[in-house]
This record gives sequence, structure tokens and C-alpha cells, in this order.
Amino acid sequence: MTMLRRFEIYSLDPKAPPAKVTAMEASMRNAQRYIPEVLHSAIGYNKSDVALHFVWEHAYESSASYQRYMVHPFHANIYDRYLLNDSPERIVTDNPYDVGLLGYSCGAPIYYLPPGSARRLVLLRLAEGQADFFRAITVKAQSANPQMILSAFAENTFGTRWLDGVTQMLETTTYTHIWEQGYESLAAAAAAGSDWRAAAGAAVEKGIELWYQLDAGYEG
Amino acid sequence: MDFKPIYIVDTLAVKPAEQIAMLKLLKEEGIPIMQDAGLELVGCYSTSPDLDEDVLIQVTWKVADHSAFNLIRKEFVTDPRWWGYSARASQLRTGGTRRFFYPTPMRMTV
Repeated sequence: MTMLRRFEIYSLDPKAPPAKVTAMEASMRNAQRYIPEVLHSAIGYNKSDVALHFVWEHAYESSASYQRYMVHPFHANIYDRYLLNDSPERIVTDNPYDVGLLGYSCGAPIYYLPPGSARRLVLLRLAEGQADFFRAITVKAQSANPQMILSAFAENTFGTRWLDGVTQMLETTTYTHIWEQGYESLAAAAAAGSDWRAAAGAAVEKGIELWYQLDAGYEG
Repeated sequence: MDFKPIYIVDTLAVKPAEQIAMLKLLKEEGIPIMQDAGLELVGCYSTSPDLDEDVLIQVTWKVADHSAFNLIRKEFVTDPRWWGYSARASQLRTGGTRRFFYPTPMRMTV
């Protein structure tokens, strides 16, 4: 079975009513309460200097379960209310990073972190053919940092396949790869640094980093 | 509850002075874009601009079910016109809602 790992990342409208932001947070953090197919749902507020504020991370057991999420009434009624550009109650904004929906396929929940842990998320546009080279960099970075308790590197397949998670709809996406790192604390995630950039050189055409503490809607 | 068909009711609040501009935007951009995506327009109504309060413009759409809406959503979010329309509409609106309504057991009799 191929799982789907998925991120939605947004900049929040500074004029958004706090009550609506709180309601969106709750709907995403506790997504499984409304849509059983949504696994390991957690939210977080980015602490890096990248002007993207809000992350919703989660997963699906399969493409079939993701497709059930897509047609679930809660999705259209509630998530679209806060997110779709033409919704009168939209509380997110377009962002200059061209970030929205990202994710990848995996055979098991390699991304899993206990609630309260911290995530450092690296979104990358790699030069063609550089994935194996960069994967080696991620392995080396983890071995050099004992505080990095998790490292998962994968192609961002969701950016071009968001309708069902498998069928390619778009030619390209801005960020070709995702590197998610896990830490026991937000301080450790923030301190991890980006020494890998020097080693990566021209292999990385574009890259941004976010880090946040997991506010999870699941039990550890 | 049976979740089909769906009636999607957009209620757009605008200042009275913007009523005509919003209706023009809907007629020329919003409604054609959504119809092209596959939504059926049921009706478009407005409150009076003479009440010294925001005007409410209500647009009602019909779609067979949530599976159909999922495909229609894909159509409009991948339509470049929708992005421009949405940006222009957001400048005119002061608020509003989008709600999904489903059939009830009520039957109208005369």
C-alpha cells in the first residue's frame, strides 16, 4: 500500500477574524474527527523568517482514501470556506513563494513524530538529475546532527497530482522535492541550521525552510 | 441526510455603491467561469440598495453531488480567469458566506 503524505501551507490574512482562524485551526488539527481518512493531522505556526504562517500536515493510507477525503462534504463545506480564492470567508492570502499543496508517496509513515515534537521543512527546487546527490546530503546532515531524530526526503509528487494524488495534472511545480526533518523541540529545529546549502551548491535552484511545533490532533 | 443534489448559496455583502459593480462582475466573469466549470446557475438575487445597509447579493448554484463538485472545483481553480475574478470580487466584498444546502424531507404543496 502506498501512503500519501500531504502538506498545506498558507500565509494568513492579517485582517482575518481571530475566531475564524481558531475555527480553521480546529477543523484541521482535528480533521480525523470529521473525515476518518485523514491520518496524523497536525498544525503548526512557522517560526522561520519565511512569510508563510500556517502549516497543516497529514497523510492518507492510500490514493483511494485521499479521494474519499476530496469528495467528503466536510472538505467542501469547511476547508474550502477558509481557503478558496472566491470564498467570501477566505482567511488565507496568495503568497510570493508559490507554496500551497505539497506532498509525496511513501510505503509507511516515515514522517511520524509524536505530538509536541518540532518539524523543520525544507522545500526545494532541485536541478534536474540531482535528487540522488541531494539525498546523500540529507543522510550526511542527519548523521552530523544527533538532534535530528527524523529525516525524510522525497519528490514532491502532490504538487502536480492534487486531484487524486496519483494522476499528473500539471507539467511542473515550483518545489520538486521535500525534506522533512524531525526534532524533539522547536529550539532544536531552529538551531539545526542550513549547512547543507554549501554542500548542495547549484543542485538547489530554489529553497525555503519552515519550522514549527506540532499541534497534533492525534494521540502519541 | 442525503447529500444530493447540492445547492451552493453564495451570499456576497457589498456597500450599496458597489452593488452594480459586483453584479456586473458576476455577469461578465464570475457566472460564466463557474458555468464553464460545470455549475448550474439557479438564480441571482439582490437586496435593495436603499436600506442604508450593506447589500446582499445571493447567487445559488446547483450540482449533482460532492463527487461532481470535486471535479468542478478542479475545473475552476485551474481556470486562469477564476484567479483574476476572485481577486476583483474580494476588493468589492465587505463580507459574506458560502454554504452548501441539501434536500430536506419537506414537500411543497398548493
